[in-house]
Amino acid sequence: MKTKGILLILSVLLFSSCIVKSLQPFYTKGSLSFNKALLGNWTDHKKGQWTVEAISAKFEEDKKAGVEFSKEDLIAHKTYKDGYLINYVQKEKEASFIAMPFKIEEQFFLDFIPIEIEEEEINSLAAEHLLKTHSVSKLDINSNNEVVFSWLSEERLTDLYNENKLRLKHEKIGFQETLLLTASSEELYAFLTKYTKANLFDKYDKKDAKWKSSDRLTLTKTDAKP
Amino acid sequence: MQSLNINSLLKKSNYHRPLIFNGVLWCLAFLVLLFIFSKGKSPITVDFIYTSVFIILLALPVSINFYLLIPKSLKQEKYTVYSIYFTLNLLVFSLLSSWLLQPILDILFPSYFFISYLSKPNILLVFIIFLIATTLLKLTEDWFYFNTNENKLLRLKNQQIETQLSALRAQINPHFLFNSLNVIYALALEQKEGVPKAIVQLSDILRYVIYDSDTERVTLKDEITLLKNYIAFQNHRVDTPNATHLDIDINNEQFKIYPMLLLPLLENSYKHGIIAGESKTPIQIQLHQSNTVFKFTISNANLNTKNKIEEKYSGIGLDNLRINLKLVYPNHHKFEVKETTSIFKVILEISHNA
Repeated sequence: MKTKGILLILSVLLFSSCIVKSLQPFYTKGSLSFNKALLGNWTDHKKGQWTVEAISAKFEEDKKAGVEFSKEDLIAHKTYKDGYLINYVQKEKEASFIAMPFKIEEQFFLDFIPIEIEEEEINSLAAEHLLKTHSVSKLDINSNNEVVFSWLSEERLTDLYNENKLRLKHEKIGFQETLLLTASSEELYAFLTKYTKANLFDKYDKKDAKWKSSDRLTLTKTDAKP
Repeated sequence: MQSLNINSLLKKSNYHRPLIFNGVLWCLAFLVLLFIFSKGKSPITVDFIYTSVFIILLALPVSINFYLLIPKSLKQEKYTVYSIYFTLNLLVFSLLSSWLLQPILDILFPSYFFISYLSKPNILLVFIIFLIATTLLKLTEDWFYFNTNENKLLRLKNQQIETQLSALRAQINPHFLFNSLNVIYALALEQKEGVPKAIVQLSDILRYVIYDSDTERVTLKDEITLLKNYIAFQNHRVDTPNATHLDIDINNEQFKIYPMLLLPLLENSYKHGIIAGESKTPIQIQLHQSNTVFKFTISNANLNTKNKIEEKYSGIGLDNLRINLKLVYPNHHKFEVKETTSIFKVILEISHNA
């Protein structure tokens, strides 16, 4: 019975939807493109709360408030000055991310990297094993009050790998053989460029083709001016 | 004798096998690049496609280098011109490839992702490595054919010399026999008693000429015996007392020389220096050998005794001897002919080292 239970948990973990993780950011320096439209408070269709602030504005606020910055802080600011600081709360669990906006032709993307995770419920030793990786999401701005995040799905990438159609540096890590991209940012950007344009996955429903609907979040602005 | 046209013979077999060479070269190149592009893992479809297109782009500058630059400038020893064209060829095609490779792949294979392969600087590096490596390979291939042809040329030259020598010896035998039969004919006409003895001596001479001399080298002892037999045989004909003075000063009777070098000279002296029953001046022969040098001197009266028949055949012996000496003792012999109104003298010197 116990074995059956473990197998059930494993199968749930293995087949549950996963987003693609990468050691390197998905953007290149030249592709960064800040968009004010994303700033503000948002609620997604799964009732998650999103607060999006500009890092540069946050930095200026802290500076005015007399916060003293270390050398590392200044370097971090220089690196992420075009990014957002995102706070995400779901079912009372909070996490913070740096999201870097970039463009491929006219399409916006966000590169996410977590900076803070609530570790209260995670064993401290297990937490030591966790690695903060990048994920990428297509950003569609439908209107001033609605944006859609569509994360790149591990399942779709695995399809490409299994069909021998993709040579992109990666590793399978851990017990669950999680896909971890190890390619450089230039390579990741080149991949996304072609992935965005290509006609792929005819076997899937159109809304589930390149960007899986299960990895999609629709955000509605909560502080929208009437 | 008409010499063999060695160059024309070589030309017929002097061809490269471009199909085999290029087949092996590009198969190897494909395997090496496939291994590099698949990062040592099992190659997948996308690796095969990338490698194939890369090889096609690489084949252009390599072929230009093989079939235009190397033959037109490197092999013509225009090294500076070659270096300039080589660099231009490399730069133009590596830059074009680094710009065009990805777009070509994306157009031809829109659903395949060729991402973790060569960066632009690495494409240049691979082109440099491949062009240099294939140039060295081509030069090695050329050297291989050059070396094969050199060996073939040497073998053909040796064969030609052997054929020439064999032909020269074949000329001596009938020439000598013709003269000898003339001698016996003359003796028989005069019904001299010595005819049977002369026939036995001729038989000994012919045995030596036909069988014993058919080797690369003979001892001086054997050659001296031949000379003595010949003198005895000729003395039947000339019927002149003391027709020949033979002075032998030999340290080593086993000293080896090329066979049948001396007989034509003695034959020549008898033919032109002795008139039967009339000659006052004997044929003077000196054989001297010490250490590494053998010297043969022969002189006779210059009687200018040519008739029409002899004129046609005269000189065959001496001419053959000159050719033989050049072939078997190149740069290791001296052959002097001194002719005055009264004396005809020939000096032959041979170095043992030859």
